[in-house]
Amino acid sequence: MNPLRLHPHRAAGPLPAAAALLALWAAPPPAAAHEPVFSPGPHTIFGHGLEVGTEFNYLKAGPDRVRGAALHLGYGLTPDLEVGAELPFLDNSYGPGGPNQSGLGDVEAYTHWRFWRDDQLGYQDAAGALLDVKFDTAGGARPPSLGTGATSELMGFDVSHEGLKWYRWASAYYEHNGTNGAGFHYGDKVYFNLVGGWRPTPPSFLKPDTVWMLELDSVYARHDTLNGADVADTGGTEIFVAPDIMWTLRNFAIRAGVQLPLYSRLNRDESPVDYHVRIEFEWDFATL
Amino acid sequence: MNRIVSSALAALILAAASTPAFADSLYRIEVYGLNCPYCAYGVQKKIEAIPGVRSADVDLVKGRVTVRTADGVTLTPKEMRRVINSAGFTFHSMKRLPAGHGAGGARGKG
Repeated sequence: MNPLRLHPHRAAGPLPAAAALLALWAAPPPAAAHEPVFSPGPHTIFGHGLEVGTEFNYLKAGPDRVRGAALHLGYGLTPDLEVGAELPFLDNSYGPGGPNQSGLGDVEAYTHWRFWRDDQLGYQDAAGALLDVKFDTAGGARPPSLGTGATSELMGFDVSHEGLKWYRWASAYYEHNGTNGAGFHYGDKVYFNLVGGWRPTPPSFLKPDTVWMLELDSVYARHDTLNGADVADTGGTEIFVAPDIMWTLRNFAIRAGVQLPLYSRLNRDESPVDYHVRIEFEWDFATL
Repeated sequence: MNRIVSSALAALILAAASTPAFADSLYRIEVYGLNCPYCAYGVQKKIEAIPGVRSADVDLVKGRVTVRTADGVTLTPKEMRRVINSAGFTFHSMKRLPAGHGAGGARGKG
């Protein structure tokens, strides 16, 4: 059985069925442009800078798939404090003959605080903290819903070394999911991410710039619960590897990558995610 | 007589046209933390928003921003520290370059 397919207890009512998939899709909080594709970093936009972006996702797991697009807005309250929101639109399909659903996903609001920064000639080391709240806004009057049916929060820390040639990121996040009206609680999750980046040619201010990255992303999910009791065939550990590219020209950025399964130990006899493709376009503007 | 007046006018126009290039001031600002063009965009925009600044050109490899100001406009380390910090980087030092220095500008470099 595929992890993304409807569980009987979820199909019985207006309960979310796409949360496992959504969790993977939306796990990384909305990220600023100069960060990895599938995991966050401490970068924040400059003070009073406006970040406008759009991203496209395609995730496949066995016969199930999710297509998604999202609009992203970020604003730099200070050079080290960013707030923003993401508005996702989803189109989920659960195998041949299975249910389909499309519409608005769970809207996210986030704040990212870069609480430490060490600037030296040619590089910047930084650490940040992030709080991301996913609201219960998803559409889908009939099951499966496009969201979890409850508000969830994601919080954690990230660090980075950004140099002229080499990049390194690491992040750890905890996702706390709420319990929806039907008593269903998607298992909380813990994320660990390690990323290395390499710029093959020295950067030039007015010329295109390319950075290649390789991510190692892991997620540990606790059992889902229904009215407080564990749901047996849920949760587990998955590790992904993701080659990415980040291409920028002035205030425009494109980031793209594909996340591939490296290791999977799920609490169920289900096929893991086959792949997850993401491409993002982003522009930064100065407002003041 | 007309030729003399015409020549004088032409000389005045030429002088007026060429004067701003020599009257501009150049500052070289050392900035720490610069490493990518996308991130440095904010530095350029912040500096260029200062009244009297004609251009700001970023050299990422050298960690340097060259700022050209209109005649009579003076930049101070205190002001530049504030502006660079608001762009998310660290001001290290600055100096005013002698007149005529870097007439070709640094635009487009590193």
